[in-house]
Amino acid sequence: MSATPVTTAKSAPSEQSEQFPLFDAHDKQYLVVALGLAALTAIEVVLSYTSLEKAALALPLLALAAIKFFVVAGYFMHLKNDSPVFRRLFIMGAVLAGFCYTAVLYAFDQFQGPGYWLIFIVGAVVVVVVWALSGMRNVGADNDDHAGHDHADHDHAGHADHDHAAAH
Amino acid sequence: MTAAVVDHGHDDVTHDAHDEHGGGHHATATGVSNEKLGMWVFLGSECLLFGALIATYLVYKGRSVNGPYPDEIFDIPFTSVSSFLLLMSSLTMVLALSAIGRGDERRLRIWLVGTALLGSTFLAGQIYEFTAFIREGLTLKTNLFGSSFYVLTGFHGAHVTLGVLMLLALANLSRKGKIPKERAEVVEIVGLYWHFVDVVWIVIFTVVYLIP
Repeated sequence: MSATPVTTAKSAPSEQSEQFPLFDAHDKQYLVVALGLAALTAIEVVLSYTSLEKAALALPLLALAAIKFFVVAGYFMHLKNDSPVFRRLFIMGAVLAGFCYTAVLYAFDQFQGPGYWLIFIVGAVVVVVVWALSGMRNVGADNDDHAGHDHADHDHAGHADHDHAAAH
Repeated sequence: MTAAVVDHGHDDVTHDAHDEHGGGHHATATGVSNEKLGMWVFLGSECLLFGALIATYLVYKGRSVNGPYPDEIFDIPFTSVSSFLLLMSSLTMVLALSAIGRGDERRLRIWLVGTALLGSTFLAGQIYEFTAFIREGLTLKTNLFGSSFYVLTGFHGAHVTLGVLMLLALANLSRKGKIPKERAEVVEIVGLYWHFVDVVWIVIFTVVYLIP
């Protein structure tokens, strides 16, 4: 009777995990991003304890929150590398909400003093820049999207041998 | 299916998983997955919901005629720790997605349960905070600050609760072997919801707690 190794159903998952590294290159990038987010949060909390005036404090805090927002959306939600359609939809919702409720706040006299107007103008400029950059990146991606769609159709028709990747 | 990578210019792990298994989604009119598109449309509409709640809070802030007022009851260090935990749950969520992208189902479950635990800890902190505020006399009906604060943070808490339930359901499905590598998109869609809950809290934490 030779000692044949027996693989039980329970041991399979642990063996499966041993094939994979704990963190790959993408994971290391995520760890760095998370550390950056934690550092920004710490800066926010420290800033909130300073004795700056409300308007002077609001500007850097909102800027830090906006950076954190876009970092999470860009890296963790993969908006940075994903299809431009998703980026447009999300930015559209955020922009619409931003402008709609800024108008509401204005209607209720929430913007008093130059500090608030500065926040509003900086916010509007950031949104427009993000929108413009997003649009510029989309031009090439849109063409590729259509090409990808065509390629999928070709696959279904049984013409997968064409080397579309090389053509691109 | 190498072309799928070239087509979209994608380089993240989920797409590697899709590429090996038929592109992850069938050909659609938009060229992208309908399920994922649906989630992004939903998240876009959620921006409007939370935008309305945040705007309402800002309009009512400082208009209460009786206390307790925000400066009297907020415990910034405690809420900062809660915020940090929620932020780190986004990291564990993206690590779960990365794991299933590699086909590592065991680590997928570990990271999913880890994310659910971090989310639950955040919820426990919120319940403790609400309880402490109520003891100090701030209820939903006390003043304008109380009404708008509880509605805003309560809605967010409800979203986190739903997210935790979805994460646990995913972990359970994975345990039964129903989330193989080729179904990585399911994890990605739940992950999008979870990250959105996190980005909303980033705004709430700054606007409600940190700005005086």
